[in-house]
Amino acid sequence: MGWSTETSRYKSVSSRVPPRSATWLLEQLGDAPRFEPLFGDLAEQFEEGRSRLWYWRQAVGTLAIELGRLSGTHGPSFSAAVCTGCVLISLWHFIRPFVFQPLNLLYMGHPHSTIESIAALTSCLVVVTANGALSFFSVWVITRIHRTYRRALLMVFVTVLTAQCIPGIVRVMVGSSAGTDFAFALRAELMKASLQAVYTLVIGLWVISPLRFAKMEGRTRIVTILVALQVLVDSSLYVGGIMGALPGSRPEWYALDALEVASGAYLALLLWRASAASGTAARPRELFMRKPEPAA
Amino acid sequence: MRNREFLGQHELMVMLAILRLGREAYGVPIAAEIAERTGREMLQGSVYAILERLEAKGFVSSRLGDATPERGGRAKRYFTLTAEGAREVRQAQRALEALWVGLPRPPGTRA
Repeated sequence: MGWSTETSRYKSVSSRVPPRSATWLLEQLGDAPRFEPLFGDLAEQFEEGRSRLWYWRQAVGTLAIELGRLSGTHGPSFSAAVCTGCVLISLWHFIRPFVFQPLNLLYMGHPHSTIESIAALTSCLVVVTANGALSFFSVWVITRIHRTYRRALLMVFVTVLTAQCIPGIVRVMVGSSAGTDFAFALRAELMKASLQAVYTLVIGLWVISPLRFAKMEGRTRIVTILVALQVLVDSSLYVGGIMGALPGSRPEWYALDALEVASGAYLALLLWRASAASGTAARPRELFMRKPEPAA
Repeated sequence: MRNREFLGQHELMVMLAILRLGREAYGVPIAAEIAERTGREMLQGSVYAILERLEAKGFVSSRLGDATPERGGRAKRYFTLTAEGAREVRQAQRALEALWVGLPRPPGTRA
């Protein structure tokens, strides 16, 4: 046969491991039973001596073909879901000042009594909770509109949300001269974008994952509790700063904000892995890790 | 005339490669056969996309083979043409031959 003479020159090459990053790309295709023979073909040809560049080209090309195919079948519902999510968030940003104006007034001033302090703290918590509830609701809605590739949808939604913060960051960078105000404003914008991205991702993964808190692995549970505590502490410090009980800007606060983003991102990573491992279809990763069967 | 979908060029090439390979037709030799005969190297993913399309149309059928160590323990998927697929190939051949008949030689080609 023609093909056997074509490939026979590769036979002498010993066992090789395909490029991990390219393999990871292929794994993102999911739906293992369908792709198993294809992954096997690529592994076989790489084993026979094909170059790493060839393997990369196959991985990227296959991914492009699959994305093209999917955009035809799932593109409309995917786009509709992202647009709906953006509309919901935009609506929220529009109506929030009107709805929460009385609460804002409560906690923006310096309280003079214990009752005023409690009212300020409560109003701040109401606003924070409402923000979280809206994120939850918007992610729940979009994952009902498009159910097939929910993690990909979530990533695109978070990317679009984060991209909406770019004009604000650019405005700060262009409009302000160097100085304390500039650094403070830039930090505020960057933190707003980072926290929104991280927490939308965490909430989204929580919504789409079939795993619940009690069934999560120990490390994920501990990180979840730590992140929740961190949010509570940071919110209290934030309220304290607004009410004048604490200084508005300190270097330690920068570190706390950065820590909050980092721990939130770590939690998102753990939830991502948990949702991947608990998927209904066998993952290609598992197939790649399967022990080779002895030759007949 | 029956309203039907014609085979694409790549679909026809893949089906002809399956015919040539017989019982040994799986992804790797199919792509190699096409590359050797036509000089066109197709992506492995592209070959599978075409095969899936052909299977959905009922022109090819597939069966899973044994897993081998050099494939990381993954099975081969062998393809064969169905009766309908074979009929489709013959029909495409007749259509192409009919179109070639009486066609003036393209400029710059030798007899």
